[in-house]
Amino acid sequence: MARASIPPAIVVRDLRKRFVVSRDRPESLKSAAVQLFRRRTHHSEAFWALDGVSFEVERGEVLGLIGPNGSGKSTLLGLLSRILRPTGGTVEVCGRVCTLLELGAGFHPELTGIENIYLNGVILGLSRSEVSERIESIVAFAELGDFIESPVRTYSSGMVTRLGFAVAVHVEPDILLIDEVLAVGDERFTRKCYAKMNEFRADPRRTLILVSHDLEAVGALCTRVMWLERGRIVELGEASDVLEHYLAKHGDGGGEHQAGAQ
Amino acid sequence: MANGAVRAAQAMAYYSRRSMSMREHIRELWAARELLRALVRRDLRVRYRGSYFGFAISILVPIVQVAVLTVVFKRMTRFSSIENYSAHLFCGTLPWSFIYLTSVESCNCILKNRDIVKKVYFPREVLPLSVMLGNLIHLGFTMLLFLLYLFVVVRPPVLWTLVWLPVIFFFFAALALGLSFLFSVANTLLRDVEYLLSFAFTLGFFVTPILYPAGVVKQNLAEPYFTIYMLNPVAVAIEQTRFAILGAGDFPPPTSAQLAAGAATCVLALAAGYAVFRRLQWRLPELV
Repeated sequence: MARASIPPAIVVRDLRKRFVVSRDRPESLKSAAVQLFRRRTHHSEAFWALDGVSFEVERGEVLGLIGPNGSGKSTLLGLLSRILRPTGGTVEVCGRVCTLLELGAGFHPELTGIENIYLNGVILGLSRSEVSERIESIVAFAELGDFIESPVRTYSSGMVTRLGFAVAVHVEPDILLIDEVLAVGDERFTRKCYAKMNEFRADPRRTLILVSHDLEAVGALCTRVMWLERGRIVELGEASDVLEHYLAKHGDGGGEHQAGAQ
Repeated sequence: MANGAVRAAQAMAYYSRRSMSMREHIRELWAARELLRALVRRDLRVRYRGSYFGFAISILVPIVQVAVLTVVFKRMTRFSSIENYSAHLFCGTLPWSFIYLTSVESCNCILKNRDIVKKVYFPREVLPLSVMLGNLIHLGFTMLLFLLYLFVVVRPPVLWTLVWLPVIFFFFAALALGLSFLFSVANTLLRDVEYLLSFAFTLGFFVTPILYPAGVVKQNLAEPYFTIYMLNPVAVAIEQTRFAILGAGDFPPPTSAQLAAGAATCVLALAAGYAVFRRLQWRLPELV
């Protein structure tokens, strides 16, 4: 065992996640009461969303996750960010993890832009004083002018997007997880976001994991790519190699038509 | 752990199926205190400032409620003999509103925050906890206004039993938190719990000594039934509040057996609610 001075950012060993989809799980007290008097039938199906996945991610790496719908990409992100509990196996994470939220998630429409920056920053794992340190920079990045003092319900969707991204990129986590939320807002803002991403990428302490169906973006941003299919790793390696093999199998459609609903 | 030193230098997290120890869990909750504060702040801000009259309304609602009840019940029933009936009512309606609002708001606290529950990890306890704390602060606030009014305008004798109020509300808050834990997951699993709950609370309003003192029940109910009646921890809390503030009733806080029973019920409710919550919390992101 090489005892490196810097441990990997993420170590995943034999990670498994099983979901049980129960078709007749009662969704209300009423139906639960009705079911009590009926003969029990079990219409639950279990499937392995992840079935024995092992890998390591070094610090400073940008890892792309690709694969058709239902291949387990989002499940893997959920497990890395700790939202889901593994059915088996382990995840070791070194550093602060932050997920880029769907934009506007966690905002309260009645609160002002400033108040929402504090709220969202704390939700994403900053302390209040850390938000205070960054507040000027966040406000400048969001480019909302005087609207920053108005309730978010008065914002246009583009403004909400800008504010959400501004908070997320200022959290400066050690490990940033992104699930298909790029390419939002107008072109100028998108470019600004990519610039911020590149800045993040250039920092050797920071690790980025990106789930995307946009293979071009994956190719442009990632150093390594993991190809998942039916909960298993098909290939993990240099971005260009994996993308080439993936395209050879799935064509340009990126697997949209080959949805995972078996 | 050969490389323990290296690991300790980093913020390490290691997780698998095994559940967290109580100590890890408490440490984690402590680390989430800023989030808790932010959520409570959000809820109170929205409550007090949501509309121009937000603040006025949240104060006026309990006052109007008591005013109406006073007029109706003082005129029409024999409770008119009770001295200072409105003060009796406030001692009942304020704690009742607290437990009612906490329970009902808890039902949707996870669904309402589904965006962040699905995407960000934080100890989920923070959500029901923030609902309870927000309402507790509101209760403290309205209680303070009520006491101010009572002792400045009505001027009954000030009793030393007032010092028991914090103790009474401590246990009462534990009960509310237990219910909050329970209903937050229950309504996420079974979405109609909310409706059943409002119905249960409507009934509960009449079988809890809010409009009438428990003493009236005592006179009219044979003994085993009265003890059962007083097993309701909300009834105990209300009667004790009355005793602490007004010196009225048969339930002096420190001595009565009901106090011990009431406190025990509250703690038990908290333990049970929390046990249910911890068991089901992992399924929440899948369910919302």
